[in-house]
Amino acid sequence: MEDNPDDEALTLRALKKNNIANEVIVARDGVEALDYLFAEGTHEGRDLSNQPQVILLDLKLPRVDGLEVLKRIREDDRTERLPVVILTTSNEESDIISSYDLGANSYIRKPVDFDQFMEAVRQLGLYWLVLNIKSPNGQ
Amino acid sequence: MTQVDITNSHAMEAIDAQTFRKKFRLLIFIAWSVPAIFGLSFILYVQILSVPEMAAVMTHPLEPLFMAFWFIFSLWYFMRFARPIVTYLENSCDESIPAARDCVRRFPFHFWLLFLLYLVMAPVSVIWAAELYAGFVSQPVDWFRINMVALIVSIIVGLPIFFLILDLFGRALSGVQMGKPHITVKTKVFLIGALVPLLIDTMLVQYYWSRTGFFTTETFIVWLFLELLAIGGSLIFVRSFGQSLAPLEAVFDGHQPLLGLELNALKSQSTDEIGVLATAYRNLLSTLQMQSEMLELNNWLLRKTGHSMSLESVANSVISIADRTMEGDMCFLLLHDAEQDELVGVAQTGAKFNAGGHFRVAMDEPSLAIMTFKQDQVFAIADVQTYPSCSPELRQRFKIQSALSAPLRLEGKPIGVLMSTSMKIRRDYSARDEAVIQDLAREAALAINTQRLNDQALQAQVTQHEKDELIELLMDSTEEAIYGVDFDGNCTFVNRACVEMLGYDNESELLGQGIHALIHHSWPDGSPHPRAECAVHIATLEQSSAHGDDEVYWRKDGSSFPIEYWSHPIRKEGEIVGTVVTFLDITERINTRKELVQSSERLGLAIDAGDIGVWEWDIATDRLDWSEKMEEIFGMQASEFKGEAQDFYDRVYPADMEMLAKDTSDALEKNTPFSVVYRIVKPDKSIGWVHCQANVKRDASGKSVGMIGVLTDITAQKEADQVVYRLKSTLDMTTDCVFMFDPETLKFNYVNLGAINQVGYSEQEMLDMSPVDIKPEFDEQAFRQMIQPMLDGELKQHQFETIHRRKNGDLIPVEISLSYVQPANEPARFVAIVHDITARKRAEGELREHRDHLEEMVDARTNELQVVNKELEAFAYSVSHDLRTPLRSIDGFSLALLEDYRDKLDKDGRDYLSRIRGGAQKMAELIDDLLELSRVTRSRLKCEAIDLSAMTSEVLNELAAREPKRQVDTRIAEGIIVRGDRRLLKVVMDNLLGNAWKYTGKKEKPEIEFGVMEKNGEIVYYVRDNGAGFDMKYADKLFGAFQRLHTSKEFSGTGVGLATVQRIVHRHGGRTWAEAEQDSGATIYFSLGVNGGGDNGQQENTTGGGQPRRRGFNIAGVEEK
Repeated sequence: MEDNPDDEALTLRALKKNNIANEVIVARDGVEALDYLFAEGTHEGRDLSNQPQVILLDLKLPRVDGLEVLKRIREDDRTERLPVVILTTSNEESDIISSYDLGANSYIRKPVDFDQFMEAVRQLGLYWLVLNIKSPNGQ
Repeated sequence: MTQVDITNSHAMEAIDAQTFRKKFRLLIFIAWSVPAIFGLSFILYVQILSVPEMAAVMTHPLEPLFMAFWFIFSLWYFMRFARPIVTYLENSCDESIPAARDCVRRFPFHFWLLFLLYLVMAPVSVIWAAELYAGFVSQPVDWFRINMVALIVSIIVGLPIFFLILDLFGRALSGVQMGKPHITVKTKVFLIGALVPLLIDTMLVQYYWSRTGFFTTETFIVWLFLELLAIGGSLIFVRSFGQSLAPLEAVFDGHQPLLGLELNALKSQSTDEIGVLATAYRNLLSTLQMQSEMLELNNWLLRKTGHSMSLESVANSVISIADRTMEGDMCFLLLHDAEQDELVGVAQTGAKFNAGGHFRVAMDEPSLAIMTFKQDQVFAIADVQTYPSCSPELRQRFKIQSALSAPLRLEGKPIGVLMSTSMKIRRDYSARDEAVIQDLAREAALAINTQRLNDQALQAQVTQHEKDELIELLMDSTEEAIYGVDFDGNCTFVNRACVEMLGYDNESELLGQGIHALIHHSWPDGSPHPRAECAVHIATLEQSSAHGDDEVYWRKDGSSFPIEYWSHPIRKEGEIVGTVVTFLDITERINTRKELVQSSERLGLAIDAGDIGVWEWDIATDRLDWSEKMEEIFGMQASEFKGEAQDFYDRVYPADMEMLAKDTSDALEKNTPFSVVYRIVKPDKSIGWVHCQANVKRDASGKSVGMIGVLTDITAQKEADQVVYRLKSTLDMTTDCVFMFDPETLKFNYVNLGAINQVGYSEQEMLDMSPVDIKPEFDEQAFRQMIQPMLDGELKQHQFETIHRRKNGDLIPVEISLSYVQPANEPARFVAIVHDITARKRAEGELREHRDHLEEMVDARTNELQVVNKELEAFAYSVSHDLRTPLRSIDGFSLALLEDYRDKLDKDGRDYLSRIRGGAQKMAELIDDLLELSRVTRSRLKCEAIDLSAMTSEVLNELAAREPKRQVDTRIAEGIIVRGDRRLLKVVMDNLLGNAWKYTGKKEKPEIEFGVMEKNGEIVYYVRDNGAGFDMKYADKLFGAFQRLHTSKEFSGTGVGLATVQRIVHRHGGRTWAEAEQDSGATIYFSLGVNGGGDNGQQENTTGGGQPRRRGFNIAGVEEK
């Protein structure tokens, strides 16, 4: 989930450069993200069995913020086991603590240096999409 | 202009009844006698009948009888027409007029009826008589000829007679309103015009017929034709006359009064004198109308005199009359405004009156009005275009083409202008128009003047009314009683004071009464006081004033009171008409005088009894008179004093002379009271004290002429006072308060100056009070209980603390030391020494309060700080998010460019993009550093024991790991353990060691040292290197945020690091400073104060092999701050 189109383009670029060919769904705000995950609103009727392998979640999102999204994901038994990686600009201690408290699987601060960002995305893709084994009932 | 000259007209005298009857009879007689005689003669003359035939006719009865019958009948018949007129002439009463007028109306018909009947019958009677008595045989031609004769006779005689009778009627009824004319001029003209040619024609025919005997049908036709021509001609005459008369006939048509006539109907239609007369008549009427209207206006104004009337109504009336009278399109009334010296157009046709004026024309503007006003004459301007003096503005505004203007004159001076204007060019302004507008202007001026005079009169009335009211008010408000009497002694007016003083209820009880009998009837001793002896009455008779103050007036209730009165005669046109009397009740004055006498007697007694000397000084002679007592006081022998002022001055103690002289001159000039205490030198050289009091004597103009005074010897008193004064002043000098009070009454009998100042009461007030009054904690019982042991001798002195209440209510804490003293030959008393302990109490109170407030203040400050911290956190949070995000875009897309478009970019392009990325990354670094700096301030300190030495090693190892190629000589003091926030101190060491590492980067043998030392009792830690160093003159900038002493090219960095360090150290209560030398290295020192000190035993123990640490160094740190 990413509201900033620049960041969205850069993240997609980083994924592409790192040869990660998985399907990427972008939600521009918290409400859209939740709609997608729970097949509501604009995404009504979506096949819920096809849930993402990993969710990259920005904290600052319009309408419903990232922490709230995370909380809802964890509250719902359909999504509670989905891996959620916080990918945000903030390195505030309080944000980090809140994220982990709410059950984030990982917290990565977006570096300004795009080389570092590429590296971070590369490792992220490698780990979550290749190495990590999904929960069997994570749908 | 045509005028009717009355002297030239044929004035007829009035006629009386007798003459009228006589003349009327005569005319009727002539009318029925002359035609007969004339006709018969004519018959003879034209030889219709011969003389013998005629003689036969006349001698026989038929013809004479016929004639006599007509005489008598006509006289009888027509006298009925004369009778009503005679009645009118005899009685001249209005009732007879209608009958008379009716006669005149009916008369012509009856006259001509009978006359024609007579004319028809007369030839018949003649021919019949001739045939009967003279054997005359008549031919048809004879009938014709005789009838012709009758016609001629009737015209020759009947017509003039008829006119004569009408004239007679006219004369008889002259002055009677005839209504419509009965025999019009047109009728008369027709009669004359048609009948006279007929007469001549017929006479000619007769004549030639009788001479020639020639009469044919042709003659008849010619005769008839001529007759018709005559009638036609006279009809044309009549028509012409009709046209001339037509305008005048309009006068007869209406039943309205002459002045109400529509004057346009009177416009002349002919050029003859009747036409001219009609025009003149019409002008006359118009002028009359105007004058009557103006007269009406002026009458109205006069009737309204005394009431308010507005200039508005006058001006509007004038304008409307002028508009009706003048044949123009607009009229203007302008009045002169004397203040502005302008003409103001106040009224005009078609606009309401406006006192301020519809327009204003200055005296120097080109204007017809101004010209009229200035030259004071009438102007008739046929075409204003050709007249440069006319105001072009008004011409434009009102489309005036021609104008007629006249000045409004009052007493020969112009006060305004009346103007009639026309929108056509009029060349027909006549002298009459000028005269009319002049008349109008004159009347208008009169009307305006009347209005103004009335206004002034009203104003004056109002003023007079106000004056009367003022006088009444004055009369009633004065305290003097005033009344007036007429010559007979009856009261004409009284004022309020008079009524009240005399004890009456209202003035009506006095008005009109004989005042002497009411109030002045008896002498003070009660004996009768007749009016004849009354001084007021006598003075009135003598036309003089009177004044007295030894009489009494009597009140309504019979009591009397002494008065002083003044009477003045009232004159009216030189005659005495009464007297006005003013009087005052002088009871009080008399009493005062009595008291004065009494008190002066008492004074004399007092002076004699007391040792008081009396003196009097006369300035003019410089004499000084002394009483005997004076000499005694001065220690002189009787009569030793010479009576001169100098003799006195010689005895005044020299040092007091100046004061005495000053007080004397002050008393004389400034009128200050004279009361002096001074010393005198007695003949035995002893000094005496005297008290001298005096009054200044002044003459009528207020100039001082002398002094009179008394003198008291106060030597003994003065000496006693001196002793007491010394004691008192000593006591007054002590700061403590001394109170003494009586043991019985508890009243104070002495208080010193300190005591007075303390409680705020005056000495006088204090002497009436007791200690209980100023001690709110005691009532009298409690106080007496407290002093009882001292009275009993059980206690000598009592010390206690209580409160005193000042006069203004303030409370003072005091400490009292009370003693009871019993001097040998004086009454016993309590002496209280009182000490004000306010300052002490206040200090105690403040200390207590301060203690109580301290915690509150700390709490408040903490709260404030928390709020500020919260705001700061919110700011930092958004900085960390929002500022970094765009930087990432810059960097990311720059890299994307570099990667995707590398082949399209040249070396410079790639370099620029790299610089962009560098800048963005630098910015991100800056933001992170700033966040770090702010975090330092806002995060809460978590203090614990930290091994700085270990931390230093750790940091240096990290640095070394980053640049494994560099060989740096490091020295770390062992076992430095401090108390502080681990995370923050890590930031400090990161920065300091990072700097050292960075700045030694260009040295061949880099050295970094971390150590600790003691300086002025303070534990100081330092990081020293031998790197680039810096110039000490910039040392003060070193710890400021964003302050750098090296360029980025030399050494990278943000300039925030040392600022962060300083802030962290400050948070720990320590301080930082630096020492350096350019190119030789730098040392950064820091101490850790109150929060960073190892002030517990454990830490002290763990310092182990490090530098010794002093107990309580943290306090030194605080002092350092």
